[in-house]
Amino acid sequence: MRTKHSLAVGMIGIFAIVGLLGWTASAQAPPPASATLACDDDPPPDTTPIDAALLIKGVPCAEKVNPGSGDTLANLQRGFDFYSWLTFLALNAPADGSRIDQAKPNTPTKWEHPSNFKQLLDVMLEDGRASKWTDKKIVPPECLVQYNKLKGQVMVIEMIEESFNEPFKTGPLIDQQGNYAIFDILMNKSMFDYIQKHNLQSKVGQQSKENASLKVDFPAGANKGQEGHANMPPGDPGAVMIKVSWKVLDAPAERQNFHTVDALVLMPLDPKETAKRPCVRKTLGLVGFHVGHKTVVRRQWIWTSFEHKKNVPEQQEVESKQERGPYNFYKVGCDPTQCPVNHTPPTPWDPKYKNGLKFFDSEFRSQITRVVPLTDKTKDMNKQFQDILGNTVWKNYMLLSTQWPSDFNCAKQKDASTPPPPEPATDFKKEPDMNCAPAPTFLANSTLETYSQGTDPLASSSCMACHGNAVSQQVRPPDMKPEGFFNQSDFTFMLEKAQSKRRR
Amino acid sequence: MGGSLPNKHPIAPNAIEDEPAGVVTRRTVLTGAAAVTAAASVGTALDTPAGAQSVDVNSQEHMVLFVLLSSALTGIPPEKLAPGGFKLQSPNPPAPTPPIDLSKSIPGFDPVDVKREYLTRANEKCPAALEYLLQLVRKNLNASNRDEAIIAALQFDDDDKTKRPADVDAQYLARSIVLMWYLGAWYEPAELKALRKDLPTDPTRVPKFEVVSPKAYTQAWALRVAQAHPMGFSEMQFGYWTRPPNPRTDFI
Repeated sequence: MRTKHSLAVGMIGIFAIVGLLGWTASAQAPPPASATLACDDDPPPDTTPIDAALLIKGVPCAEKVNPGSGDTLANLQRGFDFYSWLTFLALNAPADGSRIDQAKPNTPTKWEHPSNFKQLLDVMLEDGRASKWTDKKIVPPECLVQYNKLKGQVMVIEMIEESFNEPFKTGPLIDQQGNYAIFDILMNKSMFDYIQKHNLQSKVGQQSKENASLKVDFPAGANKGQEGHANMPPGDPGAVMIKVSWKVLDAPAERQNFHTVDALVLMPLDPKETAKRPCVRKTLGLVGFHVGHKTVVRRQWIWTSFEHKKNVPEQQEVESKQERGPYNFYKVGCDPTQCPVNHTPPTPWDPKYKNGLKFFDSEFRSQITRVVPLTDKTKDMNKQFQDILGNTVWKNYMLLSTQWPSDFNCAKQKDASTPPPPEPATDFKKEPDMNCAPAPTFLANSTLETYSQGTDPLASSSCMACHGNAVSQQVRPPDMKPEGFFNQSDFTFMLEKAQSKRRR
Repeated sequence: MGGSLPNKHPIAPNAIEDEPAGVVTRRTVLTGAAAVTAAASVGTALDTPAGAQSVDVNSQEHMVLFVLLSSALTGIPPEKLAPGGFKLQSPNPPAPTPPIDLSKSIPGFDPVDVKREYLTRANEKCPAALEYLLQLVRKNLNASNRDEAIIAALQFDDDDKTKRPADVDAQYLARSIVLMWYLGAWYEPAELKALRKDLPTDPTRVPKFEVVSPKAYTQAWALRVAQAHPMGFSEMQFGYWTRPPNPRTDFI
């Protein structure tokens, strides 16, 4: 095990190298007050008319749903879907405080602003060192010249395997122009603070004896009047994480249909390459948007999934020849023998430096369909929200569904062990179903869970069933009994990314 | 093995296996299920299914009846078989039941909804026998000993000459329903009937069955009663195997 001394020497060494490389991020302009994303602890209920008044609401601190009468499951699903749309609108509202229905395709959003969310790799730093929320962006040296030239007005995405290879290493997604789809993960301040408080940004910290008995339990958002509301700082929604997918937009004409960002994309490290990692400047279009939000009565988190409506056709549309292309990840009319549907690409999957973000097989294009169609009710709600978004690109996005724990008593259950654990004291040891009956049982985004769509238990994508298996890098000390050790990371895989040494 | 199914008794937290009669344990639940499948005693036949309406798997009323039937047969409370607010309603709530108003009763909402698969399977395979069974529940709906009455009506020997073919068909469908809930698999009633005949001379005879669906495989109650989970599918916390299972009351 490393000593404090050797760690300290190592840290000094790293900082010295960083200084020599000129690895100092450009100063970022202070965030405008309007950029700050405070949550609304009294969000409108789902019975509220869907009109322009909803466009200026904040992110709900927690869901507000009503079982109503009649079809309880459908009524609650509507409530959660309504919550998802409010969340989507608030997160994607312009960071400059203007209205989303006036936004241009490239207007920066609130979630893109560093005062609201941080990219995962800006938290899980090399050597596992701690950082502050207000720290400046650390720009990889390969991108620094371009970054400074652009005065920092650019998104930087440092690719790792998870940036191009889908969950469970099921493969990359290749668009109709032959480019990789790119994925990125972010967290809000509530998650960041919890991680720093417990030294979880460090692999060594996670493995420390002090953390052996830690039950990772992120803060949970609460509405006014709910238990736990008083524990939360005003405007703090609790833990929120985002996963996005991007499409490379080389053709200027395409850019009018997407929310876009100007990005510097650092290609993933290829240990076989001797050349410097390419950092390529690209315009990226948003094609997928996941949000996970932990709330006080939904301690298994609420899982929201949006995507661009021109990503893929539904399988049933293909079968009835009702496709309305062109699509981002499907070619209309291509014979299935030439374009096998929902197949993974040929290997090798890793991007090659010489190809930039183009797939090595220049002929290959992903041919993807949506296996589980949206419900009619979700489609109806989508239309109502899209109709209030004016002529902006945001009308091109649709909610797929919201997955939520449907067993109410199970979902709000607290850990009753002695001594009482700190709030929110989530009970992760519930049996037989720690996920509390996710509804819907399956949910997949065509860009983020492309190859695990369907309705087969275990094999098909379910947000909670998958994330419920997430663990940290905690280790059981020799003097701790196995049953006393608890390794579960509260429905996030982020902690797996904590580092102990340099990545590059 | 025989005897009626103990039911409607409180479940004792942390109860051990050898408990006094009247407490539901893994053993008594499984014994109860087996008792139905091996039913050999004489019961009373339902007068007539003629007045029964055909079963509609989308009918809330029929689903409530099916859940009540399943609960009586398996010994598992209806709220567990149909999670998400299964509730019997009287005509003037909150007055206590009975009488039960089926039109106002709620079969529960749960996203898995395996009960619909089971009702559909039974209806597709044996519509008349299913009608008979739901009519049996309807007839005993307000009885204080509803579950016992349902079981008693289905416990008779195959050789009982007082029984009509419809009675026997319903009895074997009841066995298939029990096996569906516990094993997630469909055993044809005719196969169960043949098995009963064949086993004395061929103890190696194995019944044919079909797993109802991937969903049904994950929801089978036999493993849940054993505080376990099916192979390859678990919704328990990663690492649960390092400690004893939670109390049985968490499972059933």
